[in-house]
Amino acid sequence: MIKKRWRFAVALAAAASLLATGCSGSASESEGPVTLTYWDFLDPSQDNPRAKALKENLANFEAANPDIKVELAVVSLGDMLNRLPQAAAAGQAPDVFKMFTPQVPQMAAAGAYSPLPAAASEITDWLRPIDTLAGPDGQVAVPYEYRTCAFYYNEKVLKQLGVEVPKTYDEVVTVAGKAAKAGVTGFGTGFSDADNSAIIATFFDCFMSQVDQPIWNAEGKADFATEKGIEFGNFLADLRDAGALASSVTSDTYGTVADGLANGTVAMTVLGTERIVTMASQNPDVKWTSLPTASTGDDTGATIGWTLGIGADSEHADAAWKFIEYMTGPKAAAVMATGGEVPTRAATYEEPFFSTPEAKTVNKIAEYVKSNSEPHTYADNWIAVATGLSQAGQDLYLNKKSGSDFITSAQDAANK
Amino acid sequence: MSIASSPRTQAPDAPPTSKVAVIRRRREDRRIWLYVLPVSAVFLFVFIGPLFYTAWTALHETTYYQIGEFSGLNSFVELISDPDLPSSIRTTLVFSLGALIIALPAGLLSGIVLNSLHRFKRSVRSLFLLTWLLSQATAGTIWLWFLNPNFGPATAITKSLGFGPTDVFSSPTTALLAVTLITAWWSYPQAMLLFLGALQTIPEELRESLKVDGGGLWHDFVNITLPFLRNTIVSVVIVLLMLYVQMVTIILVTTRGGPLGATETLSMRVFNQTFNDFNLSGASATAILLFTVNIILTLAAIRFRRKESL
Amino acid sequence: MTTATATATAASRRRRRSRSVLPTISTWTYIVISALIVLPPVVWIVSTSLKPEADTIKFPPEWIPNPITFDNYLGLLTATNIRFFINSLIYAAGSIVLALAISIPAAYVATRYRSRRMETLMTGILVLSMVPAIVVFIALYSMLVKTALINTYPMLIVVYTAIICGQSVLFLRNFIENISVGIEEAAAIDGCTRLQILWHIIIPLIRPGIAAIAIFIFVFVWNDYLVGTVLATTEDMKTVQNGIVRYITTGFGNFWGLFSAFIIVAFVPVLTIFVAFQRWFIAGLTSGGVKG
Repeated sequence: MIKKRWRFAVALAAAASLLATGCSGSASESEGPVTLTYWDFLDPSQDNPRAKALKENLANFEAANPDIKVELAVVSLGDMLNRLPQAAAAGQAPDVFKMFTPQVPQMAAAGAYSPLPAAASEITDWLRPIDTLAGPDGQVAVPYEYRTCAFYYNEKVLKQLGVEVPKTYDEVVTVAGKAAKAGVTGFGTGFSDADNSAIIATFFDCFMSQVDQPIWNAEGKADFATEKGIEFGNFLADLRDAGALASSVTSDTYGTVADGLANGTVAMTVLGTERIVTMASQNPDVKWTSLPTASTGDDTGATIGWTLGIGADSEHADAAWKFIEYMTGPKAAAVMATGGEVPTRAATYEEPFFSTPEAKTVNKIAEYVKSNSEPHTYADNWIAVATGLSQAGQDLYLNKKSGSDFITSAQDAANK
Repeated sequence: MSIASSPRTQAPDAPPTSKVAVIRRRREDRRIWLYVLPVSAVFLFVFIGPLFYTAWTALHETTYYQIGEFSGLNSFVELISDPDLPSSIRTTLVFSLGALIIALPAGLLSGIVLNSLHRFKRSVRSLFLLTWLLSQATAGTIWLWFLNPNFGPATAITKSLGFGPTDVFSSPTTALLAVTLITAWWSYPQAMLLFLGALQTIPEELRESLKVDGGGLWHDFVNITLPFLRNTIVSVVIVLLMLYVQMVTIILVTTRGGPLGATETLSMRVFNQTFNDFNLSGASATAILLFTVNIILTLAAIRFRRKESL
Repeated sequence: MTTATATATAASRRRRRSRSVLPTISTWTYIVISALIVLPPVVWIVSTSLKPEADTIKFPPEWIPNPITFDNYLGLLTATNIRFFINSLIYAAGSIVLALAISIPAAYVATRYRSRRMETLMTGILVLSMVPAIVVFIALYSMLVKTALINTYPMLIVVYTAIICGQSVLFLRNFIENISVGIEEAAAIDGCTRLQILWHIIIPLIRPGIAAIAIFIFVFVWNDYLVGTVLATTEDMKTVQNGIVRYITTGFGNFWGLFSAFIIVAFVPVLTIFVAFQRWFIAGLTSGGVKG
């Protein structure tokens, strides 16, 4: 009997202590040393240039600010989109988190952000306007890196086909058809929603910017099934009819298309500029240029990229802003640029790194972002738009739907 | 009370030998319930609470994870009138029955083969059990890699035979087929283990007659082994069906319910509605439907077990 | 034995021997076919794990890595991955301890003190453990997402325990039933309390059952993917299986080699336990079937 009571007591104590450790995590001090919780999708323990740059920047920041510690939590973008609204509602939002541009308004509407402090408006040398990164309560995020869409093509394949680099989307269809007959995927895109429909949504975003088609109307309802929008759908339908889409297109993601481009099985595609540096080292035959044009508009795409913002109800807003300011500031951005990302402030480009030959590509991309892209506003349902696009794309490919059907069903899905 | 009387159990109301013994036994009887208290508490917390919460949520409007106003049977009406529901149900049926048709005979045959071996028994048993030792996530992802349309060996084989690459997960029909086959591939050892237990209890006389009787193997199998295993077969069917109806992981890591909902079974639908659509109320309604299906299967199992013990 | 019977026995033996050739051929055909269905994906993963990164995406694919390298296994040793393994170990060990602690007393009492109420409770436990798992996880998630309970070790351990203790109780019941009551009655007469009987007599006698259940729980928790996905909300609480799928969903660049190595390393514990304790393993798994 004594043994059993003793066993119970031990078990109870163990349970209590476990519970205590579970519960104690949320306590935070408001004076003295501060610990910031930071959500990023990059895993510093991975062995790639971007992760290494992040690790270096974190270490440098902590060294420069001995009273601030940064506790990094690796959270994938999909997880972030799920958890942030819940965490905010529970008062457990991280102090700082990375978010992708089109989803900032959605997260702001879900209550995930604290507005940026007044000190934020003292920074004025952002390369592109930042007022689109706002929520109902004002500015919530600042850009951490810039990217826009670029047109990638395999020079060797095009030379073998004896064609010039396409300048319009119609030309792309023709060349893609020829490439498909030669045995490669004519144009790389993907209709999977596994990675938040990244590739089709990004392409759509840039195309709509090119043709000056706003995605939402004044009431915030998706309203893009116009002539210009239908042109996008028709482009995809034409590719399908020319046999230029990969047979795995319904399950292809941003990553699989990039892989295909790198190993030469994809002739052309539209991807973000963040892949330029790695693509150059993976396959020197792959070149990039500005976007082809549609029947209207030009080749100016959308300025997108990762942003940093302060979480809702953060108890360390000032320390958080210090961190954000550092990470987007010249020193940290120069380190980040070695990993292939494009810094967002003009001051950064005066750092010594950008005068070195290694920085040639990054400088070129920065110029391209400045000249060929504009940021625009997003309503608070980008996720629905993106999912609608990938579902409509699957429908287009599997059930041979038309371009106008594609754009209409995507619009309807966004407005559901 | 002698040792010879109740050999297995001790009825709490056995005639007492003295008044003191009565009091002690009654106090002890009450203390019995202390022994089942922890189990009951855990069950209350993990199963009963969530079950009621699910029912509660299904009866209310929800935004993200906040429960809003009472909406009665709205979510159920929405569920029944959802044009995607019939296809989810059909997908669940095709998936469960398809996997069952493969896993059940495979399990039975493997069990028989294993049972008849005298040498190499351990190695063959390891071979047969291998797929089940892999986790569901492992099973799904290694097939994902094997069937990769760009780099997988399956593509190499189909290309050399003149077909295209194996875009198994891009087309609705092949995706469902693939998911069903992978699930059967992973789960047949579970059936095999259950059959093994039964096969090992076949009485000696039947075993002898299996070997020596005239009339051929098939005759022995159909007329002697099968009837004996009838109960086990029903048991295995129920176990497997419940496994398939609840299967989420294999589908989640391969297709996540796509393409175009072709592999979205009822369980997958519950998952997607919760984490993609943030439609907690709708997901709860679907969950109640799923639970009903499970109850039907469970009742069948209990009814069957009671019949067996008669 | 007369000559007649001797001849008959010899004849039947001869018949038996000739009849046993046919089953053997079909038996081994079946085994070969099974191997051809079971082994290829597994072999392919092993092969991929030993290839250098660039070779993993070569086409046409080669089955035998050339050169063989263990770089992928070394590349696995990241803090995140190690954390996954530690988490899974904690969940498994915690579940085994908790499940045994609550199942053994319950099984003992349910076997020895049958009454209608007890049977109802047991049936209730049986029925409830057949609630669809996904329903349970999602309800728990939405119920507790705003509290500090979610994403903690105790929470996941309790959930794992709840899922398996129904089966554990029933399984242990079978074992306890085989112990004759006589021993306990003798001990009771000698003045032992129920607790002492449980601790000193029953538990030692059902050690094989406990071992089987412990192994079963370990494999179940180690191989589980859903609980970790739904109830562990940050990377530092996720399990080994989550780590595997993580390569597929967030793998940057060329990750197939690392992914394959991770699968192999994640499989080693289960494989080891299986090989070492085959008999107990099988015993635990056949618990859902016929009584031993």
